[in-house]
Amino acid sequence: MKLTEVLEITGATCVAGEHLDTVEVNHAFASDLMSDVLAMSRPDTLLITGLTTPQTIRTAQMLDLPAILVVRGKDVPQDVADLARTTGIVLLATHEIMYVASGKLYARGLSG
Amino acid sequence: MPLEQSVEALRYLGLFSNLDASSVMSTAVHALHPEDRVAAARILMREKSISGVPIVDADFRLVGLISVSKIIEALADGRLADSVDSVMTRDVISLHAHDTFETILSCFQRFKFGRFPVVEEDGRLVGMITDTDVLSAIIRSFYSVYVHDQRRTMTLGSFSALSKEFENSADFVYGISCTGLENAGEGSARLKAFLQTKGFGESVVRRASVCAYEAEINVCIHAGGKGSLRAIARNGEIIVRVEDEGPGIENIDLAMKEGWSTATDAIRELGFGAGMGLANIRRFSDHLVIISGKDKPTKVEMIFLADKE
Ligand SMILES: Nc1ncnc2c1ncn2[C@@H]1O[C@H](COP(=O)(O)OP(=O)(O)OP(=O)(O)O)[C@@H](O)[C@H]1O
Ligand SMILES: [Mg+2]
Repeated sequence: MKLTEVLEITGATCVAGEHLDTVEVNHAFASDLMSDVLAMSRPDTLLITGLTTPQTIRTAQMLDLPAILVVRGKDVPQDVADLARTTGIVLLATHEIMYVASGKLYARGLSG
Repeated sequence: MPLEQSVEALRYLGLFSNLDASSVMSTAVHALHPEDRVAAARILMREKSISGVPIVDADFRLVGLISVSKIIEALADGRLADSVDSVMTRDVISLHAHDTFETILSCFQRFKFGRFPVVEEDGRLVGMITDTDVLSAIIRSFYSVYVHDQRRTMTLGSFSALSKEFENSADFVYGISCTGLENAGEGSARLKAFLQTKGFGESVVRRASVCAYEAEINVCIHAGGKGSLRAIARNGEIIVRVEDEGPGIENIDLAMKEGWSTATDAIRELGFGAGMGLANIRRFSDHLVIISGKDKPTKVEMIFLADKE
């Protein structure tokens, strides 16, 4: 699934990153605890999380994840957005809660 | 293997540097005074199954020792009713409470006695060390070593052999220093960038980075944020070592369990404390050694083999 589709399905906006139509994810993983995320190792995964600390970006960076979807309409601090930009990770933000955002993406074919 | 050689081997491993005489000794000590009778020493030895009794003055300062052989001599000479003072050894080889494990071992090697009294600076007796005490200290300290490898001793051997290498010629060195979590993970990010320049495959670099990251975060949330992250990356192998300054892990086997965590709610708010970090490290590394203990530094060494994938 292209990130442009993720935007459209979850009504998200793009906080950092560009050329969303060229970035593709085949799976998604949702958690607020980073070690749960780190237990999984599949690079082409979208990280869905409510956590907006620098470690959210670092976690994605370690796992080679291309994109993060921040849920619950959380404000993304400037330094976190900057870190996403410098590490080349696309950062999206939606007002949907984690359950709904995940459900909508799953229903449209983005598997776990 | 003769005892002396295995003792050499243990010392070489340097794994028991955490142990000093005060942590090895037994403190339930039975002592007598110089004016007590030899017969009393004999009864004490028989009832407590001990092979030597330390003799102390009124202030509990060590003044002598009476061993089984002295009792046998006294028995032969019919001197059981004499005072301990008249038969005891006065030049007792004793240890100090803060003597290192190595000193203890060499004491056992040099003087072929079965037990050594342990004294404080002022000469007061605080404990005794027998070979059984040494053995149980070694066994206890294995609870503070975790080795994720069947070839336990070989891995441990390489751990200590690599220590010098890490000191003198690590390929990558990063000083961990964080008060909160702000820059936690920066070291691992740099390590990852470094490994990518070394021509390692994507997947081994990912495994090494994830594990380094988990260990770095642990230093930041559990160990006061001061430590180091080093790596040696050669010959198709990435060896990562993360060290901190304590407070250490009391029971490593417990800490390795998925879901076991001492993290507070405040830490969980920051996205950590699932109790998955060490389990992840075990899963993604090819060899793993953790050395720690209560009030000790924690050292985590992980090896990643490039050709495993
Ligand atoms: N460097 C360390 N110093 C002291 N204690 C540690 C250290 N690393 C781990 N621990 C202890 O071991 C426990 C388990 O560690 P582990 O990394 O598996 O989980 P966690 O850090 O609590 O949570 P998570 O890693 O999932 O965010 C910790 O809760 C802590 O008590
Ligand atoms: Mg952890």
